[in-house]
Amino acid sequence: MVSLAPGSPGSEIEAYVRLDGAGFRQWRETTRQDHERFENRCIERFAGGTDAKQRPRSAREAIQSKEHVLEVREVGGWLERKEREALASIEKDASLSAEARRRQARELRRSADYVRFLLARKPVEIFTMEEAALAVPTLLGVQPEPEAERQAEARSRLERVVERQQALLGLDARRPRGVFVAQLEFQMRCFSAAVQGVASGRWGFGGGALDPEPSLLGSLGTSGAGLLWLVTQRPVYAIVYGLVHLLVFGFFGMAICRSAAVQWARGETPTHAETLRFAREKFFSFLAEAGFPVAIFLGVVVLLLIGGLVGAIPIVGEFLFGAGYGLALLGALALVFALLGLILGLHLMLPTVAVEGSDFFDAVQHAFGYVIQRGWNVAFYTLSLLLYGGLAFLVYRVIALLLLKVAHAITGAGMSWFGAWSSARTSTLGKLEAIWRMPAWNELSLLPGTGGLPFWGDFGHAPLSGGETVAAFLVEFWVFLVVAVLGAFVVSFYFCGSTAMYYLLRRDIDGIDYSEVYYEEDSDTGGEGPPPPAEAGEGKGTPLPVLGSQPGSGPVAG
Amino acid sequence: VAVGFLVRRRLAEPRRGRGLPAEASPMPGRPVVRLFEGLGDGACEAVQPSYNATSDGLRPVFRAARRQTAEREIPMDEGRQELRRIYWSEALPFVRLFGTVGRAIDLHHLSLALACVVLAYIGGTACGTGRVAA
Repeated sequence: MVSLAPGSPGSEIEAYVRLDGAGFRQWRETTRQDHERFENRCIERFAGGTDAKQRPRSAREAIQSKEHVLEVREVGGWLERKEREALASIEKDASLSAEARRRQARELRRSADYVRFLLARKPVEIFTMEEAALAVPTLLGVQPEPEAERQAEARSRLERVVERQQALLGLDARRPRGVFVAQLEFQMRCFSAAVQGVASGRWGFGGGALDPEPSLLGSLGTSGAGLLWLVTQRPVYAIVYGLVHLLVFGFFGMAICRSAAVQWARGETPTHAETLRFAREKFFSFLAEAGFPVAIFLGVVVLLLIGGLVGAIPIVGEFLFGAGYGLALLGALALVFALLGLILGLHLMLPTVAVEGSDFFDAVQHAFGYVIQRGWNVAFYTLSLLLYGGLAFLVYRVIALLLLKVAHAITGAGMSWFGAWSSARTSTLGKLEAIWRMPAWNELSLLPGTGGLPFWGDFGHAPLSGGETVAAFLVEFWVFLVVAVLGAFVVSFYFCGSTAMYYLLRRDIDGIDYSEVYYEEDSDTGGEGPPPPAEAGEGKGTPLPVLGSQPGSGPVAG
Repeated sequence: VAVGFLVRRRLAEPRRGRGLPAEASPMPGRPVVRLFEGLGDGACEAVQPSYNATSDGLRPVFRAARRQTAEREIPMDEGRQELRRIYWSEALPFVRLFGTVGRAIDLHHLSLALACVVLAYIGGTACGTGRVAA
């Protein structure tokens, strides 16, 4: 196996972000060769003696023979019997003190659990190196078989099975992951690093998300590099998922922006039906109108491609290509401006439609115009929102963390009756601990970590019975609901913050009052138009009465 | 410093601001004047106080302002103003951004965002056919 240098990238995305182009290609090649070598070694080791015709095609096939599957089952039964008998013999051993008896029983149970984890192909990271090294000798040494031959056979079989299972675990660890899961994990790591940067006062470009001391803007830059990996290395997936993302976030984002806009201007919250209807009407026409500039964008790309094709023609083409390259640069300039406008003004487009009820072109004009006219204001508001949102996220994360930990600790103590009972398939883990592993109290951190166990823990890390598997699935649903609400807060904050920023910029540049918001004439309800602003004192966010001004148009006390 | 400067400037020239009709004053019999004219409507109000009225804040600023007023020999009854309320959101508009968390945790917004997150996750895993080297 090729050993990578310490601190070397752990995944393809990380390698892309950390290394330059040549380094990334080399990393990919080295990793591929490493996997191939590991597979070949496994095939040699476990199917080396077989004929070339019957030779298995993959390492997994070589390891997981029918004999091995049967042997795993037999060793499982042997393990249960062995543990039972060994524990009984320890109990009967009068030469041992009570303390020594407890210690030996504990060691035996841990050793049996280690082998159980391997047989179930679960990660053995909860065991120490010492426990792992002593597991097989402990199991065989506590109550040896009466005959030396049987003892040697038992040892040989156990070691054989354990070796194969460890090889399978190695293959599992090298298995490529899905693009979405890999990208999501990377982006979550960047987000955690950005929040760490906010809390630590590192708000600049000091360190990227993969550095030991990440900063806010540096982590956002790393996140952008991760997206660049997606676009350049998995372009098809980027297009497909980009469209799905655009539809989902665009539609619900429009609904949230609309609701936030009405709440801001009128101090009232529209119903789900109203906001979703508005989003349906506006977002899909918005998308349809966006097709025109996208077509122009793609047209310019195609023209540049054709220009390149012309350059491929010998002599004449080369001359034309060289002479007309200025046009290519102009086309590229237009593309760059379009991309920059999209990146800088994207977050103001949906609020523009939500507040003004306008179309795509108006949204682009507003968003781009505001960014150009008040660039520093936009930068200041964005930084303020990032800092404020980061701190708010920290508070809600701590609440979620404590919520999960407290629930886990209390219900776990009840399920295992303070450690007296174990789960169905282990001897040392409580039932809830086997179903759902949470970080210990001393491992909990106020700041989000960029590695290790996430704050919501891990599921399915231990061998489980059928009933426990069902319980694990259901508990996982509830836990992920809590985590999803935390993610929902981030999404909601982004759209509400963008809407607030739009109102501020509009007031600043166009001088339009905060209370001005678009209302569509509703023919179904008699076409009453916008409802009157809420009276002072009703509901939250109501404008306070201001002397000498019209109701609803006055300032809100800060 | 900026607030102190503006308050001092306003107190030094009390009659230049837009006065409000006496009947609009929350303290009958005493006129209302507006401060911070340049920062937007209603950024700050002040009421000419009675002789023993207490100020709600910025006491040190007012002390300094009174000292300056005295130095410039402006009559006390013209120079003395009481700051009743500062509309921070008008004086510093970005303060309004701090209402974002309250709006973000609104159940209505949160439920829409939750639906968005869940659908994006399902869509992502459904489309995730590619493989990434680990």
